[in-house]
Amino acid sequence: MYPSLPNNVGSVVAYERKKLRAKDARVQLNEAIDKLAVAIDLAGSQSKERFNCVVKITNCSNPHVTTPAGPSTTPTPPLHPLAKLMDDTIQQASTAKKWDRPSFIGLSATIINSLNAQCESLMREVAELRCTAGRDSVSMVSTRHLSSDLSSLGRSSSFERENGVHAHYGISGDQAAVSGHALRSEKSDSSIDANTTDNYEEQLTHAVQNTIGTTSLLQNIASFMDPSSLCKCLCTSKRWRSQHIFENADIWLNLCIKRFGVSAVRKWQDSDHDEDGVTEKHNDFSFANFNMYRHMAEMNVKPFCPMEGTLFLGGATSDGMVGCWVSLVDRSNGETSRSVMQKKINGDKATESYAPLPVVELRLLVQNTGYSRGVIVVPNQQFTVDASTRRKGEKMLEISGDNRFKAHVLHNEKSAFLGDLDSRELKSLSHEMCHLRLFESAVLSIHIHARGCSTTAKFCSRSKRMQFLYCIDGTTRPLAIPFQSC
Amino acid sequence: MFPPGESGERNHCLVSGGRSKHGSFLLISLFALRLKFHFPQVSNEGDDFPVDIEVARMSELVKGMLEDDNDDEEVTEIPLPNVKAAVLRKVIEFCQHYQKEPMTEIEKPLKSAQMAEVVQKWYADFVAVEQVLLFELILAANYMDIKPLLDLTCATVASMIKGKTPEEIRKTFNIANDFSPEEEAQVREENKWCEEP
Repeated sequence: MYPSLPNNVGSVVAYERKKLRAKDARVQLNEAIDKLAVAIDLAGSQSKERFNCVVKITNCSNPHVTTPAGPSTTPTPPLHPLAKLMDDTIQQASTAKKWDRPSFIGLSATIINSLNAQCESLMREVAELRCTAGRDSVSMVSTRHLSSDLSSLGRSSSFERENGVHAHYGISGDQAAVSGHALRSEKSDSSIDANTTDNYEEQLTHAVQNTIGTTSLLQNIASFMDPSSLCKCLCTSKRWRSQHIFENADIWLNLCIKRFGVSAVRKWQDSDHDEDGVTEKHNDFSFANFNMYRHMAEMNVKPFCPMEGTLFLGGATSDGMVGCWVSLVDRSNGETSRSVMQKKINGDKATESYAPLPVVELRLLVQNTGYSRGVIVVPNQQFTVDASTRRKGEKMLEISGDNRFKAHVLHNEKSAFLGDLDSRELKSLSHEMCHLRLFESAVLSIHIHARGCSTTAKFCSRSKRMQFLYCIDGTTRPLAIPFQSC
Repeated sequence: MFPPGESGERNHCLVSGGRSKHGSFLLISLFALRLKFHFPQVSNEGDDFPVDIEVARMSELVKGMLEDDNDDEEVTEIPLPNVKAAVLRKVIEFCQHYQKEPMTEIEKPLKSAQMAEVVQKWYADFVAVEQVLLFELILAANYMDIKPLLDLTCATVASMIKGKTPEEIRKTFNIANDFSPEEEAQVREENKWCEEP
């Protein structure tokens, strides 16, 4: 029995549709698996770092147990529970096989579990620390006669105003953490009836209304804002939208220049971008610079930088927070061979020798393109270039052992003034190459051992992407930069 | 500080501030040329704060008055109906410190949510006050036309907005949400491109 013709046609169409869908799914799966592999790799390397840190700390705190530190030699004292969990993750991550998909997916579940375990263990540690710290600070507060009640904030201040005490309004770090805004005053105790609190509220509303009701003042406040804050203000109310303050042309032009540099902005203005601007929501002239910033941000325009290499390899951005552009420093003869010092350890004595190796120098331009609440840290990291083909995976590593080819920061664009807090913050971030505030950029120079590439052209054709790690708010995140085929 | 009552120096002028029905006011005596701030609520006799003339001249308002009002009256009265005495004291504190250590210009846009990272420590501590005083300082700086103080206080407000959601911003500034739900969704969609996680 053959199926009737129309039925047959229908099934053919359905089959084609299925095939297409399956193809799409395969592509997506491949992408997802690649991302997963990167994440697992990161989980492993970060666990290793944490492991070393924990081992170091526990060795420091127990000076009796002095063992040759290092994960390779199994230390005689029992490992810290945290270190053990981290060690587990390292082991698991090292067994990841991207090509064996069923086991790979299974392993990722295990790794997620072990990362969870690490988090929980860390939370316990934090809770313990907070308990002990809390006890200390409570005793400290009582000795200093600080009012720990947050609601007394308004009352005590109006009290001071009424009695005309020459008060220092100030917040000092550790006290503020305990009691919110602790006010230091020369007269401490206050007993005031409740209606002054209402009075305070009233005064606050009055002062705020007067301030934001004045266009020039709101304009002045807006001029200090970053793009994200401005956009959020645009989302608050129709009234604020209609005042045309947060899309003010001067403010956005300044933001454009600060981020992309004058030359890039001028180039953008000269070239005609109006064709695709027809569908624009706001054809209003007042939105011109706002739209320019937005389009340039969406295109991830590279800021001008004189330190870059001659051959542009590729760029990427991550959630509009970090932009990274890679270029290659081409040598005049196009060859890659450089003599590199190598150390060989034979027993006790180390011998140094020079050997020719294929080396390419990459320049990474990194910019903080939108994180304004703190710094983006570029941690010390092992840069790798992925040169995988469809058949086999291959990674090109950095040259190690020779200081001339060590990864370093060539140039760091910094704002002129940085306060005291900066140095304190820096101490905790010891293993960093550099850190970037809003719109600041840095150029890193790294040397890659380009195995099997005798010329830079060959390197360009073989390299597919590279991975770059950055750190926001204590969390390390990967950014993959795909290379354009040169 | 100069002891109160000492007079005759040409580079000082007398300003007495007091509280009347209209609020605080400054009295500038061109004869004595000493700035004197008078706080009736502290004591009945009043406290005198002699202030250098350069300090007073930081306010474009006072500066203008001193230049325009060149008649022979001994006392010029500058009413400051919107400035409370406590706020005025803070303003003077700022101006006096500014003479010793000028404030660095605050970069636009702000690079950090912490004021201590964008301006010297003294100024960062200066604006670490409760909101009511901060906004009253803005209004005073605006009225008295003191640009560095206006910049500092406005930057502080901008730093407060950093990282806040539109809902939190509305709460801070007491703004009514006049969007319909659909409009709000649309506006949010439009501005999604520059959201910080």
